[in-house]
Formats: sequence, structure tokens, C-alpha cells
Amino acid sequence: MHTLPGDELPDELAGAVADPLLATTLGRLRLRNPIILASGFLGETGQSLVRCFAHGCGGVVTKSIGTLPRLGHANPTVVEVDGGLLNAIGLANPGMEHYRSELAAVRDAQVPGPIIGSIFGADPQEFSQLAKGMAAAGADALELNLSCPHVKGVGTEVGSDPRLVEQITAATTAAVSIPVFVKLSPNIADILPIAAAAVDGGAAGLTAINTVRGMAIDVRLRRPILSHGQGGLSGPAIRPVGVAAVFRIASHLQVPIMGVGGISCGADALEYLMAGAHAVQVGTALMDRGPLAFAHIATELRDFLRVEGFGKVSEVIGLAQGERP
Amino acid sequence: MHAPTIVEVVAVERSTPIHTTVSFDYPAPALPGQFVMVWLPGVDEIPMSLSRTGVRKAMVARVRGDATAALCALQVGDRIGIRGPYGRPFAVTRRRNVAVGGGTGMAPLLPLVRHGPPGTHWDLIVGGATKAELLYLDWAAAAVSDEGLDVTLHTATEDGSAGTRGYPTAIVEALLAKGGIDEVFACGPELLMFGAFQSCERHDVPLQASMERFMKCGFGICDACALSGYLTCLDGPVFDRPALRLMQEFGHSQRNAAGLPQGI
Ligand SMILES: Cc1cc2nc3c(=O)[nH]c(=O)nc-3n(C[C@H](O)[C@H](O)[C@H](O)COP(=O)(O)OP(=O)(O)OC[C@H]3O[C@@H](n4cnc5c(N)ncnc54)[C@H](O)[C@@H]3O)c2cc1C
Ligand SMILES: Cc1cc2nc3c(=O)[nH]c(=O)nc-3n(C[C@H](O)[C@H](O)[C@H](O)COP(=O)(O)O)c2cc1C
Ligand code: FES
Repeated sequence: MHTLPGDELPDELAGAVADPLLATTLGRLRLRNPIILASGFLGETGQSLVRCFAHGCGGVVTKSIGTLPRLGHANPTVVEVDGGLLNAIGLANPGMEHYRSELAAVRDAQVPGPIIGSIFGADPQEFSQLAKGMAAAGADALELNLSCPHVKGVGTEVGSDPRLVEQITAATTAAVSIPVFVKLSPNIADILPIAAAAVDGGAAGLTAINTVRGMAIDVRLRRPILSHGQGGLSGPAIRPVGVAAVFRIASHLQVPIMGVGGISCGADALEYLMAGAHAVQVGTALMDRGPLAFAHIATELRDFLRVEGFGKVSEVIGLAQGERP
Repeated sequence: MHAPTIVEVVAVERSTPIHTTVSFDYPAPALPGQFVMVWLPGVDEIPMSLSRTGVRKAMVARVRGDATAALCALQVGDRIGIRGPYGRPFAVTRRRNVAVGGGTGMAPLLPLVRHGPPGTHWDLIVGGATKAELLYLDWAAAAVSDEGLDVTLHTATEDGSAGTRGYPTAIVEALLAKGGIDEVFACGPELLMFGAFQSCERHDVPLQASMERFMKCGFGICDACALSGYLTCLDGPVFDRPALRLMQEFGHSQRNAAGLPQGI
């Protein structure tokens, strides 16, 4: 894999990210370690995705790609708040036609882990078209981002309607042979019926959670900071929400789960794994820990497993389920 | 904290018929070449280089679209949001330097030349379309006489109304051909920086150039500012010659808010 000058990991981190203790599987996908780049971070360009591998991740999820290029919302699109980050990027993306060339660059670089293509659309037809595009471009798996506004049910998201979730998942899994993960929104009273609908539709696995709806207001200017007003909260503040979601899903459904939301260190990743996740995704931690966040988290995870005497990372999956109250 | 701090505009100055300098007090330490994200409430949040880097900071803009129009229309007492400073600054490590700026590209060069290490010689090249549009020329001339800076001033205008007729890159090429230059610092339109890059390659002289790309977060998470594998906000905006050499997009393409490449 080609790396930029200065991007080589120090030996200690390089050893950890490829340590056999961390090697694992996510359904049919093989991972050198279970730390995956979350969608929407550093995934607009192929070269940045390649760089995430150079920085130690086990896999990447692309930015969510739609049919046509979208400029997204005006800035400010991100603002840090206590315990995390609020964003309203507004699904900005270059469109599937262009994105194929970005993914080709990742393929050509022969990266050491899977590329999971994230797509968003308004209905089953659009999702299945996009799925074919991603698969043709070389994605190893798909992640369906269901937080796009649902045209018929004004104001709600595609992902809050179980019937639509099942239809979209079924249409997508029928369109491609690569595994399809469905990413779930926490902005709903109970996440389980949506998760079950995705599994009924044929999902190979689930990703939980997307951002939690939120808003920040600047009191001196007396207005919301984000141009869009509302945004999505990520980072440490939402970790308990994500862990609870993964725990609930894992205790009812038998599919691999990617846990995401507020993971900044090895112990945070372990919470998700012990709740029942097979792998984790990291996004907002890049803000404070920088591009090497993956390698640091992998190292901390590896060190914990060593100290606690585990033989491989998969041994911790779901351990906390045994302690269910 | 990557959240805007609300500041009041303390001074607004028409620096040339097309350039407006806006000053505000913002204590966070900053170095020449770094930028801030400027929130113009109800309009946009945009990256701007700092043309003054002390507690009292300043930025200079020319109207390009909505955000720069709002910035240039600010009045004393108006409230704006500032976060940062962000990015990798210029680093002066050699003695005989060229600083070449075109248009608002003069912004970071002003504090660079002013706060460079003592004993540094500067050939400062100010470029613009016409004599009236040469930014900070008065300051540069005054600095030479009043602040005792070791600066040789050069100007280039497209219409020939002052200095050399043509682009400032021609002066860079002439200085490098003459020899004795240790390093070049460039900021301005991308084709100016690309021209300076080509001269530096030809004469094998180190270069630092301040690049512009579309920005959203400003701190390295969103990929909006991706530039051939680098992040302009985190790895730049100031890049050196070895990095510039690896950028296929340098001088050729930049991405819009959707991430779609467009010509320069
Ligand atoms: C590190 C950096 C430092 C800069 N320093 C200065 C400076 O000192 N003075 C100055 O006048 N300008 C500077 N710019 C450019 C300035 O940010 C853009 O000109 C401004 O954002 C244009 O906004 P607009 O609404 O006026 O124009 P628009 O009509 O919205 O856009 C005109 C062009 O400006 C660029 N642009 C628009 N929005 C952004 C954005 N969020 N981020 C980056 N580019 C954008 C695009 O190339 C676009 O095509 C800098 C840019 C960067 C990246
Ligand atoms: C700036 C930003 C952009 C995001 N873009 C997307 C996206 O395009 N698709 C998606 O499924 N999730 C997106 N997310 C959500 C993340 O993938 C992730 O679910 C969430 O941030 C929680 O993880 P974290 O706390 O590690 O960041 C985005 C989050 C942020 C902060
Ligand atoms: S502006 Fe977001 S990564 Fe540079």
C-alpha cells in the first residue's frame, strides 16, 4: 500500500494494528483489527480512505453517497459542544457516478481491509441502483444510511418506518451479492423493531448508532449555530445511548453488529464489544486524537486483552450480556 | 473547543478599492500562515488567513460571493464568530527569503515578514491587477523605513501601472535565476503559487505555499479540504515543496462543497 511520506506508523502502533490478537471477522468480512472508520469522516476521497488504512484502521465506511452530487447545508456545518460534536453536513457528496473513481483509487492501493460503501436514497429503487454502483466500484460490503428524509412521511426519516426499512433492505440485498449492513438511527422510541425489520429484509448485519438529534444556540447572537438549526450529536455524550442500543439488539437478534457512537479509547470499544458488537466504528475521536486515533484505540484494546488474558478479541463479544439484570 | 467565540469588529478599513481589512480582538495565539473559521451569522462560515496575529487580529477580503460580501460590509461593533486558529503555519529557518503575494494572498505574508527572525532579508513581491489594487503596499513601504525591516520591495501589475508589467511569478523567476535565495514563501491565486513552484523546482530552491481548498470543519475530520491525500486544514494550509510535488491536484483541480473536482 502506498503511503504519504511521514505516514508510516511507529513500530509499536504498527505491531498493534496487525496483532493476531485483534484479527477478527464481521460476518463474511475479515478484519485485521475491529476498528473501522465511521461514515462521514475522511471518506469523501479515495486517497483519504487509503490514508486511514495507513493510520491503522481495520476497515473503512465511505461517506454516504447518493445518486446525484449534493452540496449539503451551508456552513456552519459542525460545532463542538460539551461531550461531543454537532453536525448538519446535509449529506453532501459527489454523487455515485464520480465516487466510483474514488473507490477505484482505494482498490488500486490494495488496502489491508474491507471497504464498506455507505449509500442513502429515498426509496427501494434508488437504494438498489446505488448498491449496484457501489458493488461495481469494488465495495466489499454496503451500509445503508436510512437517515435521509422520507418524502412521503414529511419530517420523518426513512429509517423510522419498519415496513420501508424491510423493503429497502430486501431490494438492496436482492440487487447485490456483497453483504448489506443497515445503519440504525437512535432517534426513535425503540430501535429493536427497526433492527428486526432490517434482518427480516435480509440484512447481513447492523450498525448502531447514527447521531442523536440535537441543537446548540449561541446566546450572544440569539440563534442556532448550525445553519440548518438542528444537527446530529456524536462523540462521548452519545456512547451510553449507543451501548444500550447494541446491547438491546444483540440480546434479541443473531446478526453481526458494528457498534458506533462516542468511541475514543480502547475501553470505549470494549464496552460496545461486551454489549455484543463484533466490530466498532470510530469518527468523532479523530477530532481530539487526530488521524492516529485508530492505531491508538487498537493498541489500547490489544493491551487490555493481553492483561486480562484473552486469546482473541472475539472472546469478549457479548460478555456483558451474561450479566443481564 | 471548536465552537465560535463571538467577537466584536473593532476596525474596518478599505485597504484598496477592492480590499477590506476587518480587525477584532481574539487572544488565542496564532502564527503567520494559520487561519480562522469566521462565522458570518445567517450567511456562512469561511476560512480566512490572519493578516495580524497578535491579540488584536485582522483579516482581509475581496468580494467573491455572499460570505466575502458580508465580511466586507461589516461595521465596527458588529458581532461575528471566530474559531481556531487552525493549520500549519509558515516556518522561517533561512536567511535570504522571497515572499510573493497576489491579491488577498498578501494577508499571511504581512505578519510573516514583520515577525520573521531578526537578520532575515526579504524580497517582498506584491502583485495585483493595477497599482491601486496592490494590497498593503503602503505598509510594506513604511515598514522598510520605520520598522527597520530588511526588505527589498518589488511590485508587479497586470496593466503595468506600477512595477513590472505582468505576473509576480516573473520576478520570482528572475530572483532565483540571479541566485542567492534560500527559500520562497508564496500565497495567492493557485496559478501564482504553481508558477512559483515551477521556478523553485527549476532552481532547486525550497518553497512554502499556502493553499486554499473548500473547508467545513477546519480541524481534520470531514475531508472537504482533501488535496491529493492531504488535508489542507490539518496538514496545511502551508505545504512545502516535497508535499506540493506529490499533489496531482495542485494547479489543476479543487473540490466544491459536494466533493466534486472542478478546474482551478
Ligand atoms: C486557508 C484559507 C485561507 C483563506 N484566506 C483568505 C483571505 O485571507 N482572504 C480572502 O479573501 N479569502 C481567503 N480565503 C478564501 C475564502 O475563504 C473564500 O474566498 C470564501 O470562502 C468565499 O466565500 P463567498 O461566499 O464569498 O464566495 P462563494 O461564491 O461562496 O465562493 C467563491 C469561491 O470561494 C471558495 N469558497 C467558498 N466557500 C468556501 C469555504 N467554506 N472554504 C474554502 N473556500 C470556499 C470556493 O472556491 C468558491 O468557488 C481563504 C481560504 C482558505 C482555505
Ligand atoms: C461530520 C459528520 C458527518 C457524518 N456523516 C455521516 C454520513 O454521511 N453517513 C452516516 O451514516 N453517518 C454519518 N455520520 C454519523 C457517524 O457515522 C457516526 O454514526 C456518529 O458520528 C457516531 O459516532 P462517533 O461518536 O464515533 O462520531 C456523521 C457524523 C459526523 C460527525
Ligand atoms: S475542512 Fe474538514 S477536514 Fe479539512
